[in-house]
Amino acid sequence: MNDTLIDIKDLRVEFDVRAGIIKAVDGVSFDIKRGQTMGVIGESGCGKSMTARAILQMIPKPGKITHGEVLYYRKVKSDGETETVDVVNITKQHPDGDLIRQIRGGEIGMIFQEPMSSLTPVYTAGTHINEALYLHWLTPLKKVGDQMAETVQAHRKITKQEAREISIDMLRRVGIPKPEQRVDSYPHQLSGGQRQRVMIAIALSCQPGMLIADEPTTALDVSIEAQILDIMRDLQKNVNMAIMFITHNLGVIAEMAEEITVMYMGKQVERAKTVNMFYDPKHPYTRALLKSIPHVGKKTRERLAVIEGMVPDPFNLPIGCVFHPRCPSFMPGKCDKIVPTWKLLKDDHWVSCLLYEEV
Amino acid sequence: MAKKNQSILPEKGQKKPVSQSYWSLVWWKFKKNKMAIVGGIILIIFYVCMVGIAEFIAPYDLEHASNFTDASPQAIHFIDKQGKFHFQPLTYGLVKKIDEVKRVRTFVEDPNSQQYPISLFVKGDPYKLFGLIPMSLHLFGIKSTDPQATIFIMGTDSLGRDYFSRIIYGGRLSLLIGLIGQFLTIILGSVLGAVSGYYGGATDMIVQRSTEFLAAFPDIPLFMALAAAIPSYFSPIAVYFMLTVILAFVRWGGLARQVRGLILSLREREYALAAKSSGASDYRVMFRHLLPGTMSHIIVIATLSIPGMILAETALSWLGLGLRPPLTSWGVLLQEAATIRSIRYSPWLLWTVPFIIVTVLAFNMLGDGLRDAMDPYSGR
Amino acid sequence: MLSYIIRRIGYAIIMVVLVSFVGFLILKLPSLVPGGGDFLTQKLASLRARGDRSAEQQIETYRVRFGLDKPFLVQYIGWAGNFIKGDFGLSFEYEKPVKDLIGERLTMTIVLAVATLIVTWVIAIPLGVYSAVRQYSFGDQVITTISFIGLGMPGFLLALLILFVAIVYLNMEVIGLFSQKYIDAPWSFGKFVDLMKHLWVPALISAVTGTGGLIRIMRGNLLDTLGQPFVEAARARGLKNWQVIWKHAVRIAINPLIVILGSEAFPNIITGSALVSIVLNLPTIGPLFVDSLRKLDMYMAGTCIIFFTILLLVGNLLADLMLAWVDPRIRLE
Repeated sequence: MNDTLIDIKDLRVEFDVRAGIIKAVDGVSFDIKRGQTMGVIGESGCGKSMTARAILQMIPKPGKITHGEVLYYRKVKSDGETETVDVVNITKQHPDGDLIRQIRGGEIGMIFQEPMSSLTPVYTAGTHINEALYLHWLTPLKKVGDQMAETVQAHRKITKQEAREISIDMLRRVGIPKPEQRVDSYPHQLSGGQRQRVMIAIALSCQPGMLIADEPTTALDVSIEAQILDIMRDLQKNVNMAIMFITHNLGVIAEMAEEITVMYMGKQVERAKTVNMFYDPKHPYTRALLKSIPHVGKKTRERLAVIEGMVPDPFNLPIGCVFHPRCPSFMPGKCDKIVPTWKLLKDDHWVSCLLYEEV
Repeated sequence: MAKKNQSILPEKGQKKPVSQSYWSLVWWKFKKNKMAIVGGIILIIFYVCMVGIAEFIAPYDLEHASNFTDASPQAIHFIDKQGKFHFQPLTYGLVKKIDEVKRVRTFVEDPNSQQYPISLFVKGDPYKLFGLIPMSLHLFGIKSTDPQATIFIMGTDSLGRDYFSRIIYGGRLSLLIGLIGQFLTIILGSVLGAVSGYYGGATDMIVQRSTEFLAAFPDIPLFMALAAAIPSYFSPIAVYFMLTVILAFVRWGGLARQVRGLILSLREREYALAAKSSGASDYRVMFRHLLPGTMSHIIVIATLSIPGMILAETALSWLGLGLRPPLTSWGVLLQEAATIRSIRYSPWLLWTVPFIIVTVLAFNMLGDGLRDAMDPYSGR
Repeated sequence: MLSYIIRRIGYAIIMVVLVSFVGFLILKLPSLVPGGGDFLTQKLASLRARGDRSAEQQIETYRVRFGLDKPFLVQYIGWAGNFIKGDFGLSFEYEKPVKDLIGERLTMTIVLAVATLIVTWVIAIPLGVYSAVRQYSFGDQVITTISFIGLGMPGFLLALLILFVAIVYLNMEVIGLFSQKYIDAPWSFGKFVDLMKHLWVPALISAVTGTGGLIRIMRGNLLDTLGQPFVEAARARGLKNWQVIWKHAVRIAINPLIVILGSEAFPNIITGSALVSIVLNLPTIGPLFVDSLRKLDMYMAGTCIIFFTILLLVGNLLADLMLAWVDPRIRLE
């Protein structure tokens, strides 16, 4: 059985601003399987957040999905017990439509970077979770009689009491002490780490099949970060949830992801299993990223390795390979003329670089 | 470090880097706001024409009375009664009209009278430009000594004085009082606000309580009470001066509070601490370092408060608590205009109102544009 | 919470006392300044002008009757003491107790102010929200332009213009709150209809002038709030668009407006409507106050100032209480 959950096909997202058009995402394709953790790494502005938002049809104005598809393989229980897989083309959904809103939060959850400003200041932790539960949680009633061949699965909305119990339970599972009290706390009464736990609790309370984590630990200090990552891994194991983990931190992604996609200036440049990525990086950008990590044991006199040059002006992108002005393996005549294609090398290792193409 | 594969410097033909200093960014953003530019231009025109060269713009002297009392506005015709087109516009003379029923006497246009062509740059009532240069040239008028040759484009009042001229002269006082009053408020408000915010403690307490106390007073009643307290024997000029002071005195509280808030937030910023640690005196830190940082806010607040001052003076004078004749401001003009009788029978006296409204609007547009521009890093 | 309220009320009382003292002082100023005068000076002049021989004696009688022969502080304390008991002094002009004269008008003032407040808010909030959510749309442009014009528009000037249109073009009676025949009539449906026919003018004026500023502030606040991460987070949980906007964004964006409600909107309504009332000759405190100032009718003017101040402080307090109720961040401090 095909266990693909999300399939992104040649996605392009553009922003039409007064000064021109910004190609935030320019031809990205990858898939995420059920239960898998896919890491997406890249510098700020490389398009990883926009890719994530495209999955939930949440691109903010003035952005638009201009090309490509995002396919969501949705498990539904049709007539009773049998499970089938519905393929939903997310990109074709209306952003405020019923289907997409069911998926958002109910089947695909998302947590954000700034835990403080991601919670509405006037609502308690419990209120946030309750809101999500009321929207997505339908408690199945017992079968309504035994009429004909059709068994009607009736659903009723969750009750206040049930919602509160689930909220407290979720808070407990993300490791918040005294959850019965904390459930009535306001965001400003919680620490940064606690708020992020609350966010995870909210996202996971509806038992989604996938969690999109957009730099969830960037704003937290290292010790808290470690705890949050632990919680995420534990919860994932319990419910077989896929995670799309976005970050710019190589150390974190090495810990969390099974597969990594590297993005640069809206394009994907490399994709491989984590182990292969770290031991045999193919793309010069990936190599430079890995080299720039300081190593313990290195001679103290040596300078830190940096990637030369600067991120190019989005309105004035270089011709050919977008990375060529900064590339240590630059091949004049080729890299500044030809755009590399996304190529499968071996062993589920993909790369987009002219070094691996016959030109 | 310079890269090896591409030069960082702009190539030939590419745009050269634009100046990115704060004030040039502000100006650039301000220019994009059409409404603000319009507001600014209107204000410049008003201030130049009414405060500066009012005598030149107005066809008649402020107190030039005539027999044509309560005359309705004379229309400017390009096509005369025979249907002939004239390049030079003309007016018709005035004739008395008496309404027996309403017992009203006015003057209206007499279509049977002679035509009087309007010219530019005409000799009229003598005056002293800027109080110094004797002149008698006016922007427009009628070149004739015929007493019927009148050009009251906004009619006349009950003493036969040209209303348009009176509005122009009135504008001088109204516009000036707003400017001067606001200037005083800025000085009082920013100094006290800065001192209060910077020193904190007892000074802060005193200033805070004062502003709160002032704020507890509803401002219009306060104006009125203070204005009523000006002794009637004060000369009109003294009254004008006192009014300005009163306006400034009542309003400094708002500005002081804002400045205080700004200073409080800036006080702990690194550059203030750096200045202090390098030995600058409190006075120097406050006035050379902190206050300039608040300058943009102050300018915006001030610009947006000027209309309030102008309106306050207008209201006071209209109620008889402010300026008194012979000093004429828009508020004084409204006294005559705002009675039921006037509205019914001499409605042209209400021409003052659009002028006031346009002034207020222009200031708001300008202030709004300034406020958007002063924060050049904000999105739009 | 309760201690906060008590503290604020106590503070307000102190303010009122201070204001009454300073107000009294200001009103006394003309008579203390050499060459100046007070009510009696004016009255003396007018009596003399009429050729009244016994002018001086009458003035002396008045002086004793009004207590103006006593030193300043005694006058003040006497008046203030009576004030607390509910006796607001005597009006020089009308020679009736101030209490009677104000009583009828005070109700009207409050009614008008509250009605204005409600109308303004019911209009301004939805328009402001619409303007922000559909930024740059045609509707937004229209709303922004209108609110801009209304923003700086002084109420009393607008009243003049409306009078002009009504009198010259529509030939309507818009002065006062009631037509001639209903003024002293007991309440009836006809009287109510008549009231409505007159009330539309002040209501229209307040709608134009009051909503302008509020709309712009609501729009600005909401635009800022919509850019905050928690709005996006709410959307990511699957809420409908209008739920995201009203339950989360507006809920936060409206807090500063509540503060403004108390500190600016309400006072403006009271003082602004004072001027409008003068133009339209409405039976509120405004016209009475101005008149008393012109005549230097001390106790009357002083009482008016105090009432204005009390209304203001009450408005402030209510706004602060509402803010604390609505925003838990403030409440728990």
